[in-house]
Amino acid sequence: MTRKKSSTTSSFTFEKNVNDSYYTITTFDDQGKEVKLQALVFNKEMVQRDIENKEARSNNNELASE
Amino acid sequence: MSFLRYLGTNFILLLAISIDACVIGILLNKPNGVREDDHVWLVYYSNLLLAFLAIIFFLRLTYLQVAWGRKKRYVLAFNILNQGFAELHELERSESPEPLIKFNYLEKFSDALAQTFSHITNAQCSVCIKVLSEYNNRLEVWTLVRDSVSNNSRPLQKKDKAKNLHHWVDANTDFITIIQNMASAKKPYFCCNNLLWLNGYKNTRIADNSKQVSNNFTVSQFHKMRTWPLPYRSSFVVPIIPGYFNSNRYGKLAGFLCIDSQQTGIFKEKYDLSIIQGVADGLYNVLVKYYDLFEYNVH
Repeated sequence: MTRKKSSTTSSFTFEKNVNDSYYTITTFDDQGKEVKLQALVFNKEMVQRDIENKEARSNNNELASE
Repeated sequence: MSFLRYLGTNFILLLAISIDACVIGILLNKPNGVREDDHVWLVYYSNLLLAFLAIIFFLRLTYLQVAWGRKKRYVLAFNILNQGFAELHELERSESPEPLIKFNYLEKFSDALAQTFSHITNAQCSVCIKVLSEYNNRLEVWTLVRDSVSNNSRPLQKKDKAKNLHHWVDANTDFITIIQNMASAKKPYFCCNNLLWLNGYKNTRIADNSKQVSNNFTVSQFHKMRTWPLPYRSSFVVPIIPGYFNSNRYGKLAGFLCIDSQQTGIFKEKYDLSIIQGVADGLYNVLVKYYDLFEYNVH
């Protein structure tokens, strides 16, 4: 069972796999045959929070070294 | 073989110049039986021939400089690229649970790759690693890491956040082309040496995509050149997938590796593609590890 999702304007659809943490992108090849591609879809907020922490820490380190 | 051919043609040119110089030398000594008028004309023609050969020689050397100069730069670029791979391998070996360290390695890796391509192309190149996210039931692409030079000169992410700008996969020619090529078992990459001339190029950073359709050199083309909003005009994008990717059995799309430059006409697909794909293959394991280790995946 998968949670079906659709991309609004494109020639592909995507859905999150239930069994694992990956996504499936469904699109079509040259002959119009359906093709499924597995993809990693990151949690943007979580990663950006880590990036911001990293930037804040490197700024603090720079200030401390000055 | 190429060297022998190079040596052979240059030898013929040198021989011709030597013979010409000998003829001039003999004529300047005014041998018996040569009239004064003939003597002047012969010297004139010999000099003309000498000038002609000098021009051919110069053009050939210029051609070799251009053709072989880049190939020579590829050889030297591997030293810099090795530094980048050293960072990547160190990152793979690192057992630290600290994401900060991982980002630092990826940044250094991007720096090394940007330096490599700046060296190969003789133009300032920028590198970024982009990954996929989901927002409002739509797939978007955003920058995970960027090389430090362009990170300072292009504070785009903060602007995007302020404008609430999302880079949809289906609204960017490069990403959608790659996904469609992956499905059709074509070589999955996007390479354009002059985006201004690419018919129907779509980019979410360009406010009105409908203006980017003309391929004729018209007034609107001049306008486009003057008002081009992107900080790059050449772009090379490959998917971050394993080298032996097979959509049915093996491999996942982990993101996109993007190299771009303000200069046009700098990429040689024939050589650059295999380098960038090799690098993307190296990045694949790291991103998959990242994704699982830090639970960056969407639950």
